[in-house]
Amino acid sequence: MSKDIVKKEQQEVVHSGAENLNDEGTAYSPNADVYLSEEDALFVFDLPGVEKGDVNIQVDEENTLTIRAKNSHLSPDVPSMKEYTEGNYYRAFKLGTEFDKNKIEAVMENGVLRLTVPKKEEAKPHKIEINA
Amino acid sequence: MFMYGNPLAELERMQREMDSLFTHLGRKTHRFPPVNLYDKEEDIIAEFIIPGLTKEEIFISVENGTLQVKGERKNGIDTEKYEQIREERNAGTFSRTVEIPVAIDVNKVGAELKNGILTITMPKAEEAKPKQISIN
Repeated sequence: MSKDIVKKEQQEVVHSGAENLNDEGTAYSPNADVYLSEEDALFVFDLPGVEKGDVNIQVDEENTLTIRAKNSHLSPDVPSMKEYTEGNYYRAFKLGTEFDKNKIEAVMENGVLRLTVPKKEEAKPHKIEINA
Repeated sequence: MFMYGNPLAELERMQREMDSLFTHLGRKTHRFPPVNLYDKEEDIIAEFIIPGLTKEEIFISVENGTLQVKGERKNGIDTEKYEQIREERNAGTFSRTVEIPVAIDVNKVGAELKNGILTITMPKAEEAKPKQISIN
């Protein structure tokens, strides 16, 4: 089990640099937390400035999970003090084959996207009850 | 006789300055939440990048020319169920203070939270606004 996790970590496709996103400006790699349980994986992305409808989530044939999000909070003004660069978001993770890409659940709240990716039924551990 | 200071100390000081410069230029800072400050004609606007918090979880105060934003970012994860395999998002209590560069009207400060961005609008005090002077 823990070996699988390490493998997934190494396989991860991380786009940390800027990349064009549909010519709508520069895309940044959003910070992400990833959790794993026996039944599913949970991805949490910080997507400040993104409206609920402006997130595009895809999983391709290679099981690569891709998040693209449009930031609607882009200020036309130049800040006098700047700690943060506004832009759209792009990030991709490689999923293991044990995950069911057809059953991903997404919740967007307060600029945070949570994705629950369940494991396929056959990949879940079988719980055996002890009778008496 | 007067001697120059330790050249190594001088290098260290330069390094620190460079570090802080890059911290300001780059997107990632160690401080949470990061803030952008806008100096507009009528207002000073501070934007805190604070995803995941509700307005009830954020505390804002203005005192002696300083703006303070504090609270706690909880990840709300069932730790019994989940094992964390990647951690990039800041969690826990935070407190940020920002110097307000000009005099403001403290009674008219407004705050709005939308999609994880907290915008605090601080109207400038009359004496701090730019004055148009006409030639007679």
